[in-house]
Amino acid sequence: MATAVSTALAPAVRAPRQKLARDEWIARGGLVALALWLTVALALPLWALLSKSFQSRTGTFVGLANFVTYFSTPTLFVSFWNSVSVALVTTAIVLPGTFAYAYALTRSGMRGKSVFAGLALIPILAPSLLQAIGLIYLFGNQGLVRGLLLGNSIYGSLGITIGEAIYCFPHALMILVTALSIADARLYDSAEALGASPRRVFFTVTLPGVKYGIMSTALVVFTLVITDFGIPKVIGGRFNVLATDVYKQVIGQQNFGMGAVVGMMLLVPAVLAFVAERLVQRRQTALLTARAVPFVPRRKPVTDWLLFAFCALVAVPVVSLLGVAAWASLIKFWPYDLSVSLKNYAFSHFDAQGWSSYVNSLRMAAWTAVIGTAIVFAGAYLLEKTRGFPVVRAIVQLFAMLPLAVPGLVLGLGYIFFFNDPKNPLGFLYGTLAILVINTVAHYYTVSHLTATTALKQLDSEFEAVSASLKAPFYRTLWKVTVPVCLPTILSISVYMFVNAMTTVSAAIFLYVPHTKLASIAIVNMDDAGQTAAAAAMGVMIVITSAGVRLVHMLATRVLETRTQAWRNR
Amino acid sequence: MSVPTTSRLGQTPDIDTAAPYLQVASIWKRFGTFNALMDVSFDIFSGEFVCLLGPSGCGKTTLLRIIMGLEIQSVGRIVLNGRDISGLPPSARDFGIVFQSYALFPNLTVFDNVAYGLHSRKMKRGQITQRVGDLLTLIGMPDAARKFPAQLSGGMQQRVALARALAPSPSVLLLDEPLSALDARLRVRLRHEIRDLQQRLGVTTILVTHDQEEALTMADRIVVMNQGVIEQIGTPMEVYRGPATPFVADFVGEMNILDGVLVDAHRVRVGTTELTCEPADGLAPGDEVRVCFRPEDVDVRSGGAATTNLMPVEIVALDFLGSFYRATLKPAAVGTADVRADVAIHLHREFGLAPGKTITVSLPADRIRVFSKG
Repeated sequence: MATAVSTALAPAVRAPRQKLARDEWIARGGLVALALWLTVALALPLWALLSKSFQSRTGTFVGLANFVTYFSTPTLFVSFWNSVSVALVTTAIVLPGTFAYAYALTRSGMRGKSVFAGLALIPILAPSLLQAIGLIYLFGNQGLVRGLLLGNSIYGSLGITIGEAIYCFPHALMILVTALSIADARLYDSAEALGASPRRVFFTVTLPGVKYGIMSTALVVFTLVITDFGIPKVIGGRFNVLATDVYKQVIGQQNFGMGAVVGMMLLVPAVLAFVAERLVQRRQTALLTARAVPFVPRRKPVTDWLLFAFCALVAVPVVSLLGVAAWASLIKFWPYDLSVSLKNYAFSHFDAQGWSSYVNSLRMAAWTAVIGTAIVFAGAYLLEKTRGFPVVRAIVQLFAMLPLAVPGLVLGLGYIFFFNDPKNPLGFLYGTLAILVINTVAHYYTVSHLTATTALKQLDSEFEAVSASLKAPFYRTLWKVTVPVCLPTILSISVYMFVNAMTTVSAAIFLYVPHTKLASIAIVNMDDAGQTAAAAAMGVMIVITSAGVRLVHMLATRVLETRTQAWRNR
Repeated sequence: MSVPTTSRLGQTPDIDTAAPYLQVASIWKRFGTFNALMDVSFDIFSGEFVCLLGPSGCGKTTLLRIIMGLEIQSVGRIVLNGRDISGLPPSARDFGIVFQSYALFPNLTVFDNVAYGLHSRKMKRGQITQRVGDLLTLIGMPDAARKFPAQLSGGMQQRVALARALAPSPSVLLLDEPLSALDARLRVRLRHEIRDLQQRLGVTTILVTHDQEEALTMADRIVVMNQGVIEQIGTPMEVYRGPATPFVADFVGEMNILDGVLVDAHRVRVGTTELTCEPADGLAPGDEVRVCFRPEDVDVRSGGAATTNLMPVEIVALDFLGSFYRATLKPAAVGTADVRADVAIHLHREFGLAPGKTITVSLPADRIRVFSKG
């Protein structure tokens, strides 16, 4: 009987080394491949950007000289303040408005909730460019209702702010709806039992409960506005912001060093907001308890109708902006001949690439959806469900979170520096559709990765141990159990990838060549050339495609649930 | 508290002569500077049912995961049937595993779950069908083959997990708190079912549990663990009757623990009372000690035959616990903590016990254990 409680340290004998089963070697190989992929698609381009910001036009190291030039050139530095001020104003507008909308959707007895929820999410299907084009048709020089501006010009900070507010609205709404959905009815029952007035309940229960959600929303909106390229490009006029400055420095003046510096200026606030957002998120999850009782809102006629009116007031302009753009794309000659025609859809009349840029977009989005989903899911699986290689694991974990902090423009810029370098053996990728796919997958990696990880975490953590004990290699269990169980999530990720690939402008603007031009880039080009109606028409094509894909996804999910997910039902 | 009183027939192996089947040899496990396991060693014999018992955080699950191959020990060896398996990955160790969560594959039917490990063995379809059918009959669920796990009750899922682990005829069955997720009544029933199944198949089994009742009713031998070390190894009766350490005394079953001072080898003073006790090894007169005895060993038949260790007490409270009363007794002697005593219903009636009443109880000397205090 061993009864002695020994407190001595164990003798210094080496731990037995465990031999690896064949499938474990495969898993580790996969992990290394994933780390390599993230290094090439993300870390090295960013490093290239960073080092470029310390180089002169000719490529010699000049230390902080570029930054000194930047800060001492008022015409450059002013756009930094422009970006920040527009972002702050937009956040201040979007936050309360979206909160009220989300509150109505989650905590009121208002009618038509699902309709309002659906309407609010429509802008997500469009590139931000289309919002701006819609604004121009309404308030521009030949706008329908430009009188409403009382002589102010839509081109500049006003237009950017309105456009960004509408563009950010669905993103903000999703976060706030999630935050407000998490309500513990027991708290409300207690507050009521203690005789608290509705006002007091709102300030002592509701608001503190979603405090972190609100902070998170503010940071996300701020980042979206700072990093958006489409709206300031179309409606910014002579009001310069960081995003358009990067483009001008690189494409216009071929000043890569200064482009890199502006890119860094764009990266810093985005990274700061990202870090702050992660800290806030960590607190938010700690609020949840398993015992919470879901809150069911009661009908209160007066409040409900007030909220209904408010939601209508918000939803109508959000949707009509895109509606106007769609309508304008069907008009023969705005505003003189308002008869309907499809002539604006004959893209070859307006742009050398014609319809081929739309086809490119479809191909790019399809490849992104397929390859991106495969990489993301395999990566999340390897991280979550296999063992060994702690250092590689930590690196992959870090890299997987990085894209969320990196604006698309900055990533695209890094890609030019990295892949366009004559010494880079991967240079052959430059100017191909493949580089656009790689870039898009990397850019949208984080959200997809988090979605996949969440789904995988819901699976029993012992599946892998059980299958090892049953002598089944991990890939058999992955194929037989994990993938089928996660199929709905896998489909969502692929749709997310597809829709974002269709609408993205920012990174692609630096990476396309004429024969790989995307539909969203064609919008920018045609708008630049004054072919606003054709640009709107191309935007409408993107919206229709994204909406179509989402619709197919919805139907597919429904079929899937009845056919292959029978095991979910008791 | 149920104590196994009937001796087990079954296939309990002859421990003295047989060679050990699974050897856990001087296992250490360090996480950073924390020693999760310190020099843990024991042998398990073929066909034996061994329970690893201890509070949460005692290292029992870590030890089981090391035996499975899911964790790697810092030092030490795991030997199966004379072969060192310390360096083998889990898939090469030939253990059947059942987890607390069952970890049944939710999208596969009961049949496919049970057959999962058989495909790895390259068995023919007909053989697989035969084997799965046999196993489902064995666990008493012959008609459940086409059901999905979500359609089964917790107890049925538990049995399917057991069948899946047993299907490839593993050398050793490892059960990690397999009954913790079930309600009390079902747990009692499944204890017997699992024990019965294990004896019929004669499969060597290790069960990890924090539930001492589970360990006492199911195991051939219990390994009691605390803070990374083994406190005691023994049959349920040995562990219950003769706890080797104060920890075991306290953790397994109910125990009164009083502070005392050893007078001589057979006598201990508690407060102002002196009690006769079993001789305590390695203790000298004058040592401060802990005096331990179980509530059910306190004899309330005051006028009974007992002449030693008589103790006048006042009944402070009587808690009705169904089949017996648990009495809280305040000894008349000064400086002694309250004592708990279990009183059978008929004795309670016979002696008309009630709170406030003063009675004399006796403590059988051979049921008092004395441990060094410290």
